[in-house]
Amino acid sequence: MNARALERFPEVARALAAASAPAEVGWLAGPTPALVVDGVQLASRVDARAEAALQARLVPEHAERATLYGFAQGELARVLLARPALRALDVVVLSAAVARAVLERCPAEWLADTRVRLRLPAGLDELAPPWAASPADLRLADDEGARLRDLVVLELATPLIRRRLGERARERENGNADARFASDAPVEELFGTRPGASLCVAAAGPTLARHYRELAARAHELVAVDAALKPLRAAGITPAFAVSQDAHEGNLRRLFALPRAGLESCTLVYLPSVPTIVLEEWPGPRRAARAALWSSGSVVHAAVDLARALGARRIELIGADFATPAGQSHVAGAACEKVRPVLAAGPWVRNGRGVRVATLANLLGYLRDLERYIARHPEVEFVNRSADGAAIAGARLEEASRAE
Amino acid sequence: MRSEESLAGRARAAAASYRLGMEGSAGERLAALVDALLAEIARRPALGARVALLLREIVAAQTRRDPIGLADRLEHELAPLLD
Repeated sequence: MNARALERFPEVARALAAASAPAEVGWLAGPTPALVVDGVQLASRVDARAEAALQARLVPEHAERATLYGFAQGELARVLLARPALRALDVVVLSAAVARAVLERCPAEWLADTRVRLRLPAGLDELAPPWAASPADLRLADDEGARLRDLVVLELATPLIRRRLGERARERENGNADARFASDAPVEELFGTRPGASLCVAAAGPTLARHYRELAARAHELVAVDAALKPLRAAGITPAFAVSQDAHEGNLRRLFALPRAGLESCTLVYLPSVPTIVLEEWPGPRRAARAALWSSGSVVHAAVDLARALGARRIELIGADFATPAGQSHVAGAACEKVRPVLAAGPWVRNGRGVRVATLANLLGYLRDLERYIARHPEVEFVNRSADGAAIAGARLEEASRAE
Repeated sequence: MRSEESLAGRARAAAASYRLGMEGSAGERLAALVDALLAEIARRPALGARVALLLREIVAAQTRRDPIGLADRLEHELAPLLD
């Protein structure tokens, strides 16, 4: 390895020296030869400079400092360092094995620039803007880099997410939401009605099914997402609250295609996106959440925020797996249950046992947003009740029920 | 300059999204490109013969989630064939 290049960064040098070599490293010929690590090309083999110039556009031209997540073969760092305004460049290693493979094979004169600080992901909990990223390093991130990778991917997807949310908002406007809202009492009236409570949030992940016995005795403490209703009712459980934010009538009809008897005691809390026609058939009380509940895309967010707003000081997350173990997206019996092939190259997350499990890009985004929410609410104790779902930062793992 | 709606322009736009790490919008752009390309091939079968191998490589790169490999093929191999 290029030991001199790493002299200024002894901690990084130690981590890279300890990293195991990637399974496969090779060169692709071209005007700008590119390394291929485990089937993933690090940089353009035709015009690496033009590629880096494009990637660097995420950092404003006159920025004085910037962060780089992954450095591919170094070209993006060179392009940023060529800017006279730049005074500090933090470069974060997303995969120690890839960084080592690169520094063993590629020139690294840019590391000698005193503006550069090479860093490991440990201790970096949030992104430091302005930043740019190497997509190949995102793809190859190791366990230590996984959280930052997810935050970068989420941030890069934000324009797309906003566009889709905008589309949903337009659907909502077309759905005559105001008339409904005039007839249903606001959810805010319920806030603070369960002070200091211990509440459970039931999401519709595959591990929900393990908790039916316990939940049957705790139904009065249960806030369920709409997709969990059908399997819960099939297990004879009526939650105190159901939360819905789905804008698609067809989806909702499938989620709510269940016997009405027994649901009279369940309060449906709905976000403005929910179509009127589905609400009208709800046999129990309804509460409208205009802008009162937080959600960045997943109904699990709104359910957790409802539990907190009700006054809970302990929230147990049940079936909140944010993963697709064995390719299964939902608990058995959920209307939206799907089994997807698990792709070796697909997204992954560490579960509560430290094992990589398959997931989906949108679930990773929801997970990282929930972790940020948890960090904003230290007054609430969050508990993750499943070791087989994704580990949730800030939520203590507690598989067994307190009552058991 | 060709409009972004041209097939070559679409290939370059998808490549740029992949180079920026915007996997979601890149995937949408690639899907729209493939739809438009298949419609064009139905009109011009000779084009299909020229791009068939490349399309297989593009699908393979997408399957192994190789964003830069995909971008190079879209921008530097497919787009020139479509210009």
